[in-house]
Amino acid sequence: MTFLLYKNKMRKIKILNKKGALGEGILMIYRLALVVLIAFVVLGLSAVFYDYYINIRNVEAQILEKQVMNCLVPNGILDFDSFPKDDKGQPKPELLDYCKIKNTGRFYVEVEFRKLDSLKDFYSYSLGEKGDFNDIAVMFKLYQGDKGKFWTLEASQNENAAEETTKYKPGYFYNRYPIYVLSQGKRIPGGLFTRALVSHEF
Amino acid sequence: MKSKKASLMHQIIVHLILIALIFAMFFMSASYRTESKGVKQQVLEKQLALLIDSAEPNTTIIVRQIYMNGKVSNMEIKQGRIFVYVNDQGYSKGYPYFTKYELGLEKDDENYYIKIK
Repeated sequence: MTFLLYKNKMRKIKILNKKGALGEGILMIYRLALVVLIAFVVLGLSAVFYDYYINIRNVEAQILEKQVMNCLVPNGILDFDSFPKDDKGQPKPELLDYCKIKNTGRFYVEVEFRKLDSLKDFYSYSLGEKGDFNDIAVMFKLYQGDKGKFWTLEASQNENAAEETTKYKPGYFYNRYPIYVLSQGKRIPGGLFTRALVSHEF
Repeated sequence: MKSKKASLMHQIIVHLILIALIFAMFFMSASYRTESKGVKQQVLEKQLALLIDSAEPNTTIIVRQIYMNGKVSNMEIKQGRIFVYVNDQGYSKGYPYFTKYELGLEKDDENYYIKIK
């Protein structure tokens, strides 16, 4: 009788030991998961706080604008007749392709021409003596790229924009030039207004 | 009694190993950032991308392998991007360039040569 009681007790202890080992194992997995999570949080935070980004997109926009101008107006005269046009005679949105610049999807380039009576008028308008350039109608516009990217520029210029957005801030360059346009054999004086936008590379 | 002690020791050892691993990861990350390999890499890649974009044809850009801030262990030009690996760094996202000219990359014992054709 005593022997039987002892045997039963031993069996119960063995079962309890097995359960304990199982519980210990589960606890170990939980601890391991917790430790891995903490490690990732530490690494993630250090990556965010110590990350340093150098933004060169404004310079890229300037170089892009220069490349487009060198291609379009090599000698101060823009040959409008040589630019590809659609069935309605409107210039196609293929400015980058025309200048053989790699279109990586990061760029928006726009060139607007406003007709003037003479090149002297360009300087008069620049000084504000004759009025504002925006009052003169645009004769033609050459462009290529996604104009919708301008919202990222506006968003990053907002005072309330988070500092993190500077990493995604697009580069922008604007300029204007007095030029002649060669169209149907005529030399037309006017002002050329260029805008180049370079969005992030991520 | 012995098995309890052994189990406790086993647990302590596992914990110590885990803590050591975390610290190793943390120190590796911290040393990577304090050594500023990433910044050096960014500076070189972006400077070179700007030089490539603004360069005229028949220009050669010479990059010294050993310079005052470290060593350029490797350089690659592929898929419209320039990749610079500084101080045996094994990873780079590269930086895109948009020049319309073709590029060539050559190397000798001292320098890398980026040729704009």
